[in-house]
This record gives sequence, structure tokens and C-alpha cells, in this order.
Amino acid sequence: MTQTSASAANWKAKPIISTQTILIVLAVLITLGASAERMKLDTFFEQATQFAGQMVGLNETSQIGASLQRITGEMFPLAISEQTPVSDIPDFDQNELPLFSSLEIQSREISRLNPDTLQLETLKEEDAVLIEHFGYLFFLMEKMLETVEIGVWATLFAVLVSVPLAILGSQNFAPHRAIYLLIRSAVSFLRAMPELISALFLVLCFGFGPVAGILALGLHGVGFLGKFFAEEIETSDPKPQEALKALGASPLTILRLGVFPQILPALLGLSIYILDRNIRMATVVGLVGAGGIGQELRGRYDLFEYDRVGTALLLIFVVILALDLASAQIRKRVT
Amino acid sequence: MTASAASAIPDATSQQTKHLNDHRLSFTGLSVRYDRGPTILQNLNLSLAPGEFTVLLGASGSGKTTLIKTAVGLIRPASGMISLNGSVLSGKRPKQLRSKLSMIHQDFGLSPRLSVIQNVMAGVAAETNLFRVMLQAYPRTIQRRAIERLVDVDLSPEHFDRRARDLSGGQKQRVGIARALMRDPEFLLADEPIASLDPMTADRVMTLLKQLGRQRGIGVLCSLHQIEIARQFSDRIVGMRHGKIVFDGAPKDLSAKALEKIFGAPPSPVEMLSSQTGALS
Ligand SMILES: Nc1ncnc2c1ncn2[C@@H]1O[C@H](COP(=O)(O)OP(=O)(O)OP(=O)(O)O)[C@@H](O)[C@H]1O
Ligand SMILES: [Mg+2]
Repeated sequence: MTQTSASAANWKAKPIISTQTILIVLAVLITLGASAERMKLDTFFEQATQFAGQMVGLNETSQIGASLQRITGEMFPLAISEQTPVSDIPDFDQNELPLFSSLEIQSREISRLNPDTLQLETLKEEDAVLIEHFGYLFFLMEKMLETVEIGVWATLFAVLVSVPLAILGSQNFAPHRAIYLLIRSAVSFLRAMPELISALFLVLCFGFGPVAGILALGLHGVGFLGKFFAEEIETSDPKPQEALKALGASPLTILRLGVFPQILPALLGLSIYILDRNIRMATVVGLVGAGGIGQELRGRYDLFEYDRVGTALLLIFVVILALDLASAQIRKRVT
Repeated sequence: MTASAASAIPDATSQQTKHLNDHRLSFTGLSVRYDRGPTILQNLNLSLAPGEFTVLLGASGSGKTTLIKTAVGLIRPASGMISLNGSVLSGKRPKQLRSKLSMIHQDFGLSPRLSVIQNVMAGVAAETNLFRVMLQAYPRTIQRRAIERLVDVDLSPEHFDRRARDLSGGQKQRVGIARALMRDPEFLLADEPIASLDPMTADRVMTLLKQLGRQRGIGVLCSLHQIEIARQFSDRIVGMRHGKIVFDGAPKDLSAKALEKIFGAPPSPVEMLSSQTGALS
């Protein structure tokens, strides 16, 4: 008793700010300062100040302001129609125009040298042009559908591959510890690999188009679902499993009767989350040529056709918003 | 009940025509330990007779669950032998003989999201074609047998298609018993089958177990910690303490001294009270 009260009297509260804390804070500040220089944050700061100055009217122009103005100027009005010279359309029938379209005669002035008079003369040439008023929008919607399809196939692939992998990679059902370790590390590797980078290489193997996108997203999905499915199997209630084991049931029977019925809602919830994510990421992997609306967007961006880029962006935004709402609703219902 | 009575009679008579003495479930010199832990069961000898209702009485941690799990093959014994009809069960686990033993679980061990009938048919899943089990498309004969067993345990058809999780505790244990009966066992090993039931329901489930055992000539080993219920239902009481059998006799021989051997100190007032409320119902 006396000993504890003596040591209690000697007890001192630790200082709130120790020398150690001050040294750590200084070191962090110096590191950040050095890094900021490497990141050229000073230039950014300058540009941002200039832009702010333009906004409040202190200076006439700024680099950011000019770029923004140029891009928005070219982006709006958004392009939703498509024009095609009638001469480019084989078997064109003037009496059977597609829906929401009209014919327009566009005249062009052509200057050329008259070989007889040797004088420069201007000719008026008339071209019939088919204008499909929602042509580009419909085309983009078709591309968006392709993106959604990429996401769905990638999810299907991920789920079908992940279920057997999760069984063999779960601690309680792996036939051997080596198999468990092998599968878990393979799955971790797939998860660690960014899909944009695997898509780059898959485009090299399979060419431009949806297949590369499906594989890139599917493999990444296996990285997620393989891990989470295995964890669901590992943490599912052992009591029904034990009862089946006591009845002499094989591991497959135990999985079918004692594990999967119980974890099914969780598996569904995880799969819907991955579906949601895959559709979102399918637009991104399209940027490197793996199909869908992303590929279209990248093509138009490279051609500086910002009015078309803008339409694509708007469509992506609307679809992802709808998807977010839908997937939240569905996941709430299954889990 | 007519269906159940019809199916029960041939079972009982066929049991009686056999040499009863051969049909014993015997544990000889059985020792069990969990990996690297202390020995839980030490050199245990016990022999159970067919048709007899034996209560395994013991305090918490005395090794009741361990003994029952070892009998059905969930735990591999460190040494000793388990035999049925003179054939050894332990070691390589002969499936044919193991299928004569069924276990009933304290927490029922049902798959909560499967239907009642699916849970009952699972009782013979190990003996059914794997493809049929995966598709949950059992042969008609098995479906009919499952329905018979459900009728035997007094469940009505309105429950057959319900998910197991939507039943009351007593109903769940009845499903557990029906599942255990699917393989026509010679012995039922029930591990505290009434531990999570209220006294009234517990009494009904015990009555059912006793009645089924008697009708079908099934030997029952039922672990319990309630003294009064043990006295009320058993033909024989086996008392266990620290993994050893310290009492073996008829219920009327369960004296205060015997109880002290089983439970150590004289049973606490709380324990007496809980076993009395059990008996009252
Ligand atoms: N999986 C396990 N690993 C290690 N020790 C265990 C394990 N299961 C049980 N034990 C130990 O074995 C002993 C007997 O346990 P057992 O479950 O057989 O007792 P019980 O008589 O069934 O008790 P209760 O009435 O509480 O169910 C206990 O001391 C317990 O701590
Ligand atoms: Mg127990």
C-alpha cells in the first residue's frame, strides 16, 4: 500500500507537446515543402491567383480562364445530331428517311480556275445532306449500352470464377494449406493490379474492343470477390456445418446445405456492388481502347471535338447517377 | 399419426428379433484430448443397450459434449475404441456403421434458410446421389420418408415448407429429431437437446424422445444438467465429472451422495430450483 502511494506521488503527467512531437512536425513540414517543389505547386498557386484575379476583375486574362473559356465555348452547344452527305449513303431512298431526320440542301462556294477564260471564278455547288437530329445521341446511347454490357459480362465472369476459388481458398474448405495460400495470393495480386493498366496490356493481346475491357474488369473483380466470398465462407455459422458433418456429409454437401443458403444474401450484395463498380469502371477502361463509350470519348477528345465529348460526359453522368440509385435500392433489398 | 404408427411397428419388431446383447454401443478405454490441450475424457468405459434411455448427467465442462461428438465421429479419440454390434467404429470411420448413430444438437444445427423438409431430408444427404443433393431433388421415397418423420415428431404440414429459422425453438428441435431419424439409427445421441427451451416445451420434447426411443427400440444417450428431468425420464443415469464416469445406476439410486460425486459440492439452490421448475411443467 505504502509503496503504491509513494510511486503515485512521484507520478508526473506527460508534457502535452514533447520535443519528439516538435521534431516530427518539423520533419513532416520539410518533406512536404520539398515535395511541393517537385510537384510544381508554386506554378499552380500562381495560376490560381491569376485566375482568381480575373474573376474579381483585377486582371484581364489568366491561363486557366482562357482554357476554360475555350473548352466551354467549344463544348456548347452539345452535339446531338449527325450529318451525312447523301452521296456517302449507299442506296439512299429519299422517300424513306430514318426517324427524326430531314434532308437539307447545303450550298458551298468553290473557287476554281476556268481553263477557257483563265480567270478565277466562283461556283455554287449544292449538296444534299441527311440530318439525323438525334443521330449522335443515339449512337452514344448504343456505346453506353456496350459499356453496360462490358460491366455485366465482367461481373458474370468474376462471380463464376470467384465461387470455386473462394471455396478452395477458404481456411475451412481448402483441401490443403498450400492451395489456400496459393489462391489467396493470386487473388490479392489480381486485386492489387489496377484495371486501367491490365486493360492497356489486354488491348495489346486482344485488340481494341470490349473483350479486353471485360477481361480487365473481370480479373479485378475476381480479386475482390475471391477474397470476400472466401471470408463469407469462413465466417458462416459453424453449427449447421457441424450437424451435417455428424451425418457423414461430404464437404460439397456441407457447402450446398450448410454454407451457401446462409451466405447467399451476402454474396448477392457483394456481386451487385461489383456490378455497379464494373459499369462505372467500364467507361474508364474504354479510354485505353477497351470498348464502349469511353473509347468513343477518347477518340473525340483526340480530335478536339469537345461538343461531342461534352455529350458523352453528360450521358455517362446521367447513367452513373441512375445506377448508383438503383444499386443502393437493390442491395438494401437483398441483404 | 396413422402413417407413423404403420412405419413404427415393423421397426420395433425387427429390433426385437435381433440379439439385443449384440446391439450395444460400447466405449472401451476411450481417451480424448483437443490438440495439445489437457485430456478431456480419460480411459472411459461405457456400454449402452438398445431401447434404453440413458441420461448423461454432469456439470458444465465435465465432457458430455466431447463424448457425444466423439461417438458420432466429429472428434477423433486419442486412444480407445468405440464399437457397435461388436464392430469397431473409430479409426477409419466405416460409414455403414456410423449411419446407425444420429446426433441431436443443443442449438438444433439446422440450416436456417432452408425449408423444414429440406433440413429433414439432409439426414440422408450423405447416402444420396451427390447430383440430387446439389439440385435438392431427392427421390420420391426420401421425400415421403421425410414427411413420415415430420408427422412422427408431431409437426403439421403447414410447417413443412417454412424456413427453419421461422420456427419456434421447440419446433426446431422436433425438426432436428426428424432429421436424426431419417437414417433409422440404432442409437440417438442427444447433446442437451432441451437446453435452449422453456420448461413446458422441454418436457414435451423429452417425452417425444423417450416415446420414439421406446417405440422403435432406439437406444438414447441424452446429456443433461437438470437433475429432476434426468430422474423423470431416464432408465439409467450415467454421472460424469472431469471426463470420468463417477456414477452409473438406476434413477432411484441417484442419492444426495451420488449427486455430490457428480457435481462436486452439493447442488446449489439455484440448480435445484431450475431442475424443479423443469419437473413442474
Ligand atoms: N474445441 C475445444 N478445444 C479445446 N478444449 C475444448 C474444446 N471444446 C471443449 N473443450 C474443453 O473440454 C472440456 C469439456 O467440454 P464439453 O463441452 O465436453 O463439456 P460439457 O459437459 O458438454 O459442458 P456444457 O454442459 O457446458 O456443455 C471443457 O473443459 C472445455 O473447456
Ligand atoms: Mg456441452
